[in-house]
This record gives sequence, C-alpha cells and structure tokens, in this order.
Amino acid sequence: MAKKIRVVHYLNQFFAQIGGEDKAEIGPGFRDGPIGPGRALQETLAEHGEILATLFCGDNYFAEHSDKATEELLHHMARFNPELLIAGPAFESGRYGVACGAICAAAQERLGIHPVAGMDAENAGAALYRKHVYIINSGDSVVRMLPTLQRMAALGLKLVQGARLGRPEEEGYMPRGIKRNAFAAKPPAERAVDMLLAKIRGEPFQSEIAAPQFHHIKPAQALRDLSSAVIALVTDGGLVTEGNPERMEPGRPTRFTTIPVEGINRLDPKQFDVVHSGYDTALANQDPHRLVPLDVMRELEQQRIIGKLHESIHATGGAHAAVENATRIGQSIAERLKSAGVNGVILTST
Amino acid sequence: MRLEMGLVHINNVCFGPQTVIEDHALYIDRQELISVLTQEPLLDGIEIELAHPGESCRIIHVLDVLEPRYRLNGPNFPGALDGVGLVGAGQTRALKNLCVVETSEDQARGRNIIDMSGPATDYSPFGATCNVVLVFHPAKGADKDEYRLAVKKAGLRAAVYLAAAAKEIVPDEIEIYELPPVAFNHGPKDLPRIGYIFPIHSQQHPTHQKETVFYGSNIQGFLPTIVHPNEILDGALIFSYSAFTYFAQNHPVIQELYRRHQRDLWFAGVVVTVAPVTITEKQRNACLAGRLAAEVLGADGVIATKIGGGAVDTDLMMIYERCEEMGVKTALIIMERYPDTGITFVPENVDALVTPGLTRDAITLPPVERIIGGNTLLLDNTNPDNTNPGIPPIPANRELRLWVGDIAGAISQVGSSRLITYIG
Repeated sequence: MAKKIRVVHYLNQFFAQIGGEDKAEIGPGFRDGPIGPGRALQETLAEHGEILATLFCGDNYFAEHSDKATEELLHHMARFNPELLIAGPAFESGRYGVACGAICAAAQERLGIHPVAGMDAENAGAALYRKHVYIINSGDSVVRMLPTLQRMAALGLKLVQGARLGRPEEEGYMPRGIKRNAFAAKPPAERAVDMLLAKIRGEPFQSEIAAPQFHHIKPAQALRDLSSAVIALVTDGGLVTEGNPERMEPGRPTRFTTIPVEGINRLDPKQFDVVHSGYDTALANQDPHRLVPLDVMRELEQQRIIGKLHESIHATGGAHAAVENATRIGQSIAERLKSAGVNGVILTST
Repeated sequence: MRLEMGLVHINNVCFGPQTVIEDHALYIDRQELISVLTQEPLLDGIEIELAHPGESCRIIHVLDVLEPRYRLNGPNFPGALDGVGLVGAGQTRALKNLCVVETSEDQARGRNIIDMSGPATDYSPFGATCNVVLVFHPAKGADKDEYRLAVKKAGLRAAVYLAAAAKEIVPDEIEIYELPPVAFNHGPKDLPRIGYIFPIHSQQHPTHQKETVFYGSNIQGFLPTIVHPNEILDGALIFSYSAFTYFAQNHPVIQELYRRHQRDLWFAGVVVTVAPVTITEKQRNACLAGRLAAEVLGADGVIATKIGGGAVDTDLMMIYERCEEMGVKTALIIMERYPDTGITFVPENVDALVTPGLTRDAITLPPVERIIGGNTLLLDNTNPDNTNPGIPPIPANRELRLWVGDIAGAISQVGSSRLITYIG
C-alpha cells in the first residue's frame, strides 16, 4: 500500500468544538488527530491519508490579529510536516472563510504545503483567495458538509500526487482565472469552420478566447515648466544593482527594483547589471546609460534645463510580463513617484 | 487541378537487405540510405534510428518532421530538393503512419520532444507513428545556419527515398484533392464560399539567404499570392520554423475545407502570405491578402491562422480587420502561450477566435529507457520557463517536467491539436 499522505485540518472554534460566538476570541491552538467534521474527512481520506492534527483559532481572534494568528498556526503546522492542509469548509461564515483562505495561502507560500479550502462562492474569503488557492464551493448550508469534505479530500489527494486536475465544474473548485488545456471533442480546424459558418449564417457562436480588457489611460498634461520639475528615470529594460539583490526575474517579472542614484553622476557598469530574457543585454551591460540616460540627465540638471533628477531609478523587465503584474508594478511605481513629488518620468523601453 | 494522393499504410519499420515495402512493413537498407544522405558536404556523420509506437523511447532536439512522399509524375519538393518545377497535380504516394524525424543538437531553440509511450502520446500524432529518426553530426567548421539547411535537405531526401519504395505498390486508399481554376470555381448560391489566408512564415526570425521555404524561394520580400491548396499538400512548402512540414503536407485547415467542400461550404481557395517586420509591410500584406480573398477568390468567409511569436498577433489581427472591412467574415486560429495573460493584441471587434491550446501548461513525462537525438537537454526541471543560458543540461532519459508545447506535434499553429482551453 502507498504511503499515507500527511494531512492537517484547520477549523474555527465552533467546528473544533471549543464553543460558539462566546469563544470567538480564543487564540490559535491544535490537537492531535481529527475533531468534529475531521472525523468524516478522515473516513473520506481512508487509507490514502491521515489527519495528524487539527489546528484551530477563534474567528474574532483571527480577524483582529491575522498576522500573529497566521504565524502561530504555521508554527504549529510545521511541526507535523504535512503535505496537505484542508481548511474548513466555512460555508457562508465570512470571518471563518477569510481565515481559511489566509492560512491556506500562507501555508502554500511559506511551507510549500498543498492547501484546499472550502466555503461558499459568496464568502468574502472566496473573493480574496480564489486566485491563490483551490477553494471548493461548499454552498452556504452546513447540510453539504459531507459532499464538500469529499470533494476537498479528492482534490487535495490529486494536488499532492501531482495528478492532472479536471475542470472547475468537474472537481467542484472555484475557477482561479488560470488557463488550462483540455482534450477537445473536435479538432481546431473543424471548430474554426463551424464557428465561421455560424457567423456567416448569423447564428450565435462563442469565441474560444475572450478578448482582453484593456483600460484606456488618459495621458497627463504636458509639463509647463521643466526648469522646476523633478524628473524620474524608469525602465522596463531590467536594470538591477550588481548581483541582483532584489531578485528581479529575467522574464515574466512580478517585481521592480529601486536603485538609489543620489549623488551618482555615472552608472559604473561594474556596479550594475541588466536582467532581461527578451533582448541581448550585452550592450546595456557594457554601458547602462544605453538603457537609462543618467549621464545626460545630470548634464540637464547642471544646465538647469530640468529642476532635479529624482533620487532613485525604478526598473522592471518587460519580457512576457503578465498584464496583471505589469499593471500592478506600474501603479506601485507611479504611486511612489507621485508621493515623492516627481512631476515627470522618462520611460525607456527595449 | 487534381491530385491523387495514394496512401500506403505502414504498420512496422525495420532494417533489411534492401529498401522495400512488404505487407505494410517498410524494410530499410540502412547503408544505402546513409549513402544517399551523406551527399550533403556539411554533414560529417549520420545515424539512422527507428522508433516504434509503445516503445520506452524519447526523441529529442527534433528539427522537423516529414511524411514520406514520392511523386510519380514530376519533381519532389521542387526548388528545395529537385530542380524548379510544380506540384499539386497528378499522382503522389504517401507513406501513412510513418514519419521522417530530423534531429539536430544545434537546435537550441525549443525543446521539441517526441515520446513513443506515456502521456505525451495523448497529445501528439508523432508518438503513434513509426519514426525513422535521422541523427546528424556537422562537418568540422560547418556554418551553423548552413548546417541546419543541410539537415533539412537531407530530411527531404530521406522522405523521398523511403516513399519511392511505394512506387509500384497499389495504394490502400486514394484521396482526391480537386479544385478547378479560380475563374471556374463556382458552386451553388446557398453554399458559402470559404477561403483560407495562410501566413507561412514570420520574418521576426528572418529566413537564411539560402533557405528554401516555398518552391525553393527564401520568401524574402514575399507578397501575398493565390496558390492552389494542392501545392501546399504536395511539397511546395517547407516550413522554416514554428511548424513542422508534416502539417503542411497534412494541412488541417486545407483538409477540413476539402472535407466539407460541396457539403456545407464551397472551398474558394488559398491565399499565402508572410508576416514581415515593419509596420508598413504588415499593413500592406494584410490589405493585399484581404483583397485577394475578397475580390479574386470571392470569399464570403475566411479562416486565417497564425505563425510565429507574439509580435505576429498584430499581423493576424490586421488580416482580420481588413477582411471584415471588405465584407468577408473571418475566424482565426491562434495558439495561447500564457496561462495568466491573454493574446498580446486583440481589437474590440474580433469575436471569432479558436484556440489549438496553451503551450505553457505543465506536464510530467516519465523516465525512458532509450534516447535518440542526444543525451542531455537544457531544461530546469523545477521551472520549465527558465531559459537562462546558464542552466546546466540534464540527462534526457529521466523524468521531465516541461510544457505541453515542448511535445513536438502537440500544438501546431496551423491548427493541428487535440486541445482546447478553459479557465480553471
């Protein structure tokens, strides 16, 4: 028989049989083995997995001290060295649902544990965490406890085994917004001809790829007076400090760098590096000014053509960036620059 | 123009004293084939390996895949292998369920793997064919690009050599591909006339001066033109990259339009184009391709496919917009590359997209006993997206974690795949 998968179960104070609303202030704790709905979960897991411990926390305590509660719960969890975390199901309970989502996301991110949460699709925790972790839609009624636990267990076992997951409606999880392949009933050429003929006949048809939703950005007003303006340099060409201490990714970036340049008149190639999978970085590495014209900006500053060069350069990579990440990076950089009183930006791309 | 494709089904391949087909088995005279292929001076050595469906075997560094073909009435792969000439009419022999697979360890781009057993065979037709694998070694000092072209030419030579064994064989099946000249290609009024706009190359990776893509032309400066669909099926087109030539010979869109010709549509013809580099050229090619489909083919609707990287989304969308402006309804086949990001560029009015699948979808392939085409792969097994040149090579026979798009033949941009996508 295959080795049993090591499982921990997370419950709130009520389902952990500590008490109702009156015990919602109770802090994180754990007990060995399954409790309450955990017994049904253990029956479902059968010989495939073993619930080593049940972690719990009061709903109010978690809502009010979520960072501290998460830390403590992760600490308890780590001692059992689990492969799978099952959290809930929380049904329509919002505080409980958010706690399930948060503890699942933290366990996945920091301990590398596969998590499965359970809650109603309308639960606030679902909106917050469905993109990050698999959440089984329990519906809003406790009547669905057993079928929900069964789906959570089945999905959890698949995740740990690295098995291929089915579609959301087959497995019962909420779509995470991640595209996946499935085998099709007809080949693409046949589907394309079907779609085209329907279009010509004026019959309804469904495109297989939704058009991306782009927001149209209204450009800012032109600067009236350059000589008093603070100008910042920003690039998507991948400039990093030598050794890439901020660990910016060469492709598919999720972060940006902040490079202080106050009092620096030239970018010494020995102190900077370029990390970018989308172009040949040799020329930019030889002379970073080919990417960000700090040298020229200092001259303009001296000649009082611009007021001042901003104290840092921000950089990210542009290669195959996900639109969502690129948008978030752009907004974060813009917010920082705005609050630092920057009036204009020179954005260099590659 | 009428093409009779005589299909000879092959169910086994092995080496023998002479190259011959007997009872659906292909016997290959290994030495003779090697001596035919080493006519290329840029090739120093060559090995021929046979891979059978179901074997615990992995072919790596796949450069191109071909179906063996022999034309009874004229030149084979004219301009690329034989001298200048035309294809698409007359009789051709095709060896079915057998492929010639060219491998080249110089093939740094793309991982292009064929597994003869295991989960990869659910995705690609090439795990279910008997494969004659050509493993080449470059001559000392051979130019990298010219070596690649020599490998591709040797592949054509092998495809013709093998299919020549079917010259005297009575085909198991004959497929007829026939369309009259455009001027006479009229059907009943109630059948919509459907054309196909077919970009055959993206110049974001320019063709080599000596490259033989279309009838031997390097297609530099190529303008959109009408071709007979039979020409594509019969060896006029050798893909440079981005698609395997097998999918020109067995073009899924052309075959589908032929299959439904006179049933629920009328096949109006094919416009071939390329994706150029500058915006002016892109606009011009889109206009001309749309115009040819609308005013020369008289199409009511067109299918268009993409070829190349993300930049080419632009060309395809321009084709869509120009066609729709000219009153030609359009549907596109466009492959998806990222799980969390859409197509680079989709104008708001584009409402008919078909996906042959998502390339960056992780798959685990089990270890295999036998490797053909090299011993190691440049792959970070923890992150298939890691394309850092510094990653160390790993043994190619071990368990691999890579993308579905790395399986040769799983997702072809010209519209061959078994996949669709969903939001999970």
